[in-house]
Amino acid sequence: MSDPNRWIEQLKRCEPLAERDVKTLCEKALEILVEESNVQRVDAPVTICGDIHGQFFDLMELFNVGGDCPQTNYLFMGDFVDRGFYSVETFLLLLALKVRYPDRITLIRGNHESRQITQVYGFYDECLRKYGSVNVWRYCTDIFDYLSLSALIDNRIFCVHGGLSPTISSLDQIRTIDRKQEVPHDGAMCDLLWSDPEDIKGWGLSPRGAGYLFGGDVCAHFNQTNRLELVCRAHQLVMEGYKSMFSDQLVTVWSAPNYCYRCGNVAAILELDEHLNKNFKVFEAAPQDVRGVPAKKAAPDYFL
Amino acid sequence: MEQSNSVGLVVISEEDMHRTLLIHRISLEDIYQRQGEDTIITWSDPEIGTDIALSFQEAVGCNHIWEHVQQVQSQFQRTKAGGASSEAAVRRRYVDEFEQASVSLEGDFGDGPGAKPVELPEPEMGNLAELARMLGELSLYQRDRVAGRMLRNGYVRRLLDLFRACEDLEDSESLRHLHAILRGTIMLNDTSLLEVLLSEENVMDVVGALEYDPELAGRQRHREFLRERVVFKEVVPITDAGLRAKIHQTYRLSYLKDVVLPRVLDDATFATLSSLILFNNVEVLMALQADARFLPELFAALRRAGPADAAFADRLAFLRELTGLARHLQAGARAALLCKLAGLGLFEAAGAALASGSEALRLRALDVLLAAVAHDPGPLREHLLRPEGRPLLGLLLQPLLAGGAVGLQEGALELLRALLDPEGAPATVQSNGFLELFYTTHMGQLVGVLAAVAEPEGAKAAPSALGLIVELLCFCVQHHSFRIKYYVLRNKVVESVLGLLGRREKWLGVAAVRFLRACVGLKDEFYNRYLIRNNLFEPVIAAFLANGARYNLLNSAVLELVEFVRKENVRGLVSHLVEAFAPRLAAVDYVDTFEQLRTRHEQNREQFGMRDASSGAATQQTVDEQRLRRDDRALDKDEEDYFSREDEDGDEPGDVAPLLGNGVALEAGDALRDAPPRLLPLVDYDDDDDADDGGGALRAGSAKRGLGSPGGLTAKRTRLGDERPRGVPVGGSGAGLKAGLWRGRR
Repeated sequence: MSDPNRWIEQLKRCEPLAERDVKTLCEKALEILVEESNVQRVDAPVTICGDIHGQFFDLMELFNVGGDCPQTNYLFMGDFVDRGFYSVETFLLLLALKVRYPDRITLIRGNHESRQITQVYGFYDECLRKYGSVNVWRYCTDIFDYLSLSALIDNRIFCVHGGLSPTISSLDQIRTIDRKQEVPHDGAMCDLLWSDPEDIKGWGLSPRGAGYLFGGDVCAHFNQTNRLELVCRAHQLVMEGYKSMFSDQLVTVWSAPNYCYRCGNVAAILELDEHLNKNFKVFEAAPQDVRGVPAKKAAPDYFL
Repeated sequence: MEQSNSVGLVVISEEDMHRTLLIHRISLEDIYQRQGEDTIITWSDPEIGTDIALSFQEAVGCNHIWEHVQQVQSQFQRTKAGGASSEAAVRRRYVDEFEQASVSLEGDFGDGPGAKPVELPEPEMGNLAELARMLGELSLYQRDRVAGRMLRNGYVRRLLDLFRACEDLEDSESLRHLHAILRGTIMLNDTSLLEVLLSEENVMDVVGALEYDPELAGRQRHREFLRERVVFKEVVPITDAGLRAKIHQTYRLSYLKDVVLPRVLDDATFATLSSLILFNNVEVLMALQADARFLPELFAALRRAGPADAAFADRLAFLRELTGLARHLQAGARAALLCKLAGLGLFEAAGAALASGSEALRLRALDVLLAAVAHDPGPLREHLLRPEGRPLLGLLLQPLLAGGAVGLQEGALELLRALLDPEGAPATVQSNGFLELFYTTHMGQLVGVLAAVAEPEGAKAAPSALGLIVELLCFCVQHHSFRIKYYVLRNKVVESVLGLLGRREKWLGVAAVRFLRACVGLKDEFYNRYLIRNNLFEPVIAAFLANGARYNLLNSAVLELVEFVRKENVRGLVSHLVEAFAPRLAAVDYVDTFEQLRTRHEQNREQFGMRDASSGAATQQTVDEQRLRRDDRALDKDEEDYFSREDEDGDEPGDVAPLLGNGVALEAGDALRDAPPRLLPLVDYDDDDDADDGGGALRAGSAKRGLGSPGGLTAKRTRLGDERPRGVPVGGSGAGLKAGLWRGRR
C-alpha cells in the first residue's frame, strides 16, 4: 500500500501517525500547496464544509452524510484544529486526503490555523501530549502557512473562512498577498480569516479584536464588483448549522455539531451540484458509542 | 416594582388584599441578615431609616425570599462584573467563536423568580436519585450554597462510603446516580470542595464513582490505571511526604481534567482545575528549589553516569518537566530557578545528551534548552561563549548542516533564533560577544550549506534544512542591522540563497524570493544598490516569467515584492525594475502591478527632474531618511564597537575586506578630508566599474552621473567602506558638510 493510502487507513481509525510519517506527509503536502492560488479555483459539484475543530468522530459523521472523499469533491473552509480532542488526527486525515486526492479536496486556512491561536486553544497541548514533543505541532503549523486563503467555485461563489476586508474590493487584490506567513494581526490576510457579517451598514469594529464586521451593503457591492452570486464562509457558530444573510448574498456554514461537546448545535454542509444549486445537509454529533472511549491519553509516567 | 430598574419586596395584607404593608426596594448593599430558625430576615432600611424584620411562618418561604434577595444582589454584581469582562474582551487580542457565543448565553443563567430553595438531602441510599437530579438542576446562585453544605459534617466522606457500599453490592442504578452526583459535585466549581474531593483519602473513591459513566459502554478503569499502570518516577528520592502527596495530587488533577472529565467540564470548572494544577506546580517547584540537597544530587547523578546510562534519560526527562513547568513561575522566581540550574550544570547535561545521545535524547535536550532560553537567552549565550561551551554551539547547528538529524531541525532553528534575537534586553557585552562568535565562526557553515546546493560535488542538505536556514537568514536581515549587512554583501549570501530558485522543490524557490523581500523590506539603499549592481532581481524575474501566468505561491510572492517596491516608492528599485525588465514584463497582463510600476516610474521622473531617477534623486530621499535615523539614535554603541574591532583586525583576509577594513577606511577618510568642503552630488554606483572592486564597496560621488545634480557640482570619486550616505553631504541640501554626521574613520 502506498504511504498516503496507509496513512488514510490508519487515521480513519483515529490513530495518530508516527512523527516521521507526519514529517513526510507534510513535505508531500508542501509540494502541492505551494502550487495553489490564494484564491483557489474549484469546480462544481462540490460540498462545502465549515469549522471542524478537532471533532474527529463528527468529521467521520460528516463523511457519512456527504459521501467519502474522493467520490465527493470537498472544500473545507478552515478551523480544522483546536477545541476538540482529536485535532491531530483530524488535520492529518484531511491533509493525507489532500496529498492522495489533490484535485478532490481543497483546504483553505482558518483563523485557528495559526501558531499563536493553537498555543491557547488546544492543538499545541494535544501534540505535546500525544507525541511527547512539539515537533508535530511545528510541522503542522509550517503547513498552515501554505494553505490557500480562499476559493472560488465556478467564478460564482467566493469561499473564505471569515469574511471580507476593507482593503480588498476585487479578487485580484488577493493575488498579491504572500500568504506564507503567520496570520498577521491586521491587513487583508487577517481580515479574510477573522471578519464577520453583521446587520450593519458599511464596516464596523469587530469584538474579536481582529478583522472587521461588514454589512449587507458591503457584501452586495463586493459580489457585484466581482460578479459573484454568493459569499460562503464559516467562522461563527450557528445553532442550525447554516445561516443565510443579506438576502442570500452570504451564507455561514458550520460543521462542528455539538461544538465543544456541549453547545447543543447541529452542523451542516452545503452541497452544490454542477449548476450550483444549493442543498444544505444537516447532521448531528456522532453517537457516543461511535466515539468510543479514548478521551485524552495520559502520560504513563510522571516526575512532577 | 414599576419604577426604574429596581427590584423590590412588596408585603400585602392577607386580610385586606388591597392594603400594602411594605414596599421595599432591594438594596444592593449587604444589609440583610437572617435570624431565628432561618425564618426571619432583618435589615435596616436606609430609605425610611427604620429597622425592619420580616417573619415567616415556614423556613421554606423564608428561604424563597432570601434566595431572591441574594439573586438580585448577585445579578447586580454580575452586571458590574459583566461590564468589566466585556471591556476585558475588547482589550484582549482575540475572542474566538465559542467565547462569543457564551457572551450571548450569559443572560440565560438567571434562575428566574421560580427558583426553588435548596434543600440538600442527606447522603443516604434512598436519596441518591433525588440528589443526582437536584445537582443537575442547580442555578448558578444555588451552587455556592450547596457546596457550602457539602463541606459540613463529613458530607463528602459519607457520600463516598455510600459509593463503596454500592460498588460492593454491584447496585448499578445507585452507581449511576453516584456518577452523576460526583460529576455534579465537581461542577459546583468550589475550590475548597475540590480540595476535599482530591485529598489522598477521597480521591480514589471519587475517581471510582466517575468510572460508572452510563454514556460510555462499559466501566472505565481509571483507578486501575492510576494505581497500577502509572509510574511515578523519582530520579532523586523526595523525602518530604507532603511534597510527594502534592505531586501525586497534581497528577490526579490533570488526569481528572484531561481524561475523566473533559467532555463535561464547563469553562469555569476547567479554569479552576487548571489553576489548582498551576498553584500545585509552583509550590512543588519552589520546594524542590529550596531543598539544599535535591537538585545538587540530581546533577551529580547526571555527571556520574552519562547518556549511555539508562537512568540518564529519566533524569533528562525530569529536567525537561522541571524547566517546562518553570514558565509558570513568576519572573523573579523563574530567573532564580534557571540561574540555579545553570550553575549546577544544566547546559553541560544538555550538551552531553546532544553530543552522544539518541535522537530522542537529543530532542529532549533541545527542549530543555528551549525552555531555558524562553525565559532568558543570556545564560546560555554566556555558556556558549566560554571555551568549554563552544562545542555545544556546533552541536546545535549540526541538525541544520548536511546530514543532520531531521527531527531536530525545527527545534535547533528555534533555539538559534532565540539566541540571536536582539530583542528584549539591551545589547550587552555578552549578546554582542555571542553575535560576534556566531558571525565569525558559524554563519559561514550555514551559508555554506546553501552555497553547496549549486556545486555539483557539494554535500547535499535535506530540503527542510535549506528552508530553515533561509528562514534564519531572513530573521537576521530583519533583526541584525549592520552585522548581517556586511556579512551578506561580503559573502554573496543573496546569490547563494537565490540559487534555490533552481531547486525542484518550488517552496524553496519561494523562500529565496522571501529572502530578497526581507532585504528590500529594509528600504536600505545599501542593500538596494547591491541588488541592482549585481542584477539580483534577474533570477527572480526569470523564475517569475518561467512560471507563466500560473497563480501559485511563487507568482504571489514576486507580485507582493513588486507591489511593496511600488507602494513604498523605493525609487531606486522602481526605476531599476522598470528599466531592466519592463519589456519582458509587458506581457504580464493578468494584474496591473507592472503597469502601475511604470506609472510610478514616470511620476518619479517628472517629479524629480529629467535625470535618471535611479541615481541622484532616488538616493536623495534615502539619505534624508538615513540621516534622520542616524540623528535619532546617534550611533549604536555596539555598532561603534564593531567597527573598532574592524580596525583592530583590519588585515583579515577576504576579497572585500580591504575596502571595508582599516586601510581603506583611512583612505576614504583621507580622501574625504582632503576633498574640499563642498557639496558632493549623491550618486549611485558606477555600472562600468564593477570589475575592480570585488562587488562589495559602494562609492559616493560619481563624476559621470553627477552632472545633473541640483547644484551642478561634481567631485572626485571617493571610496567609502560604508554605505555612502553616511556623513556625505547631500547635494542640493545646500548645507555643506555637517560635522555631526561625519565619521572620519570610514
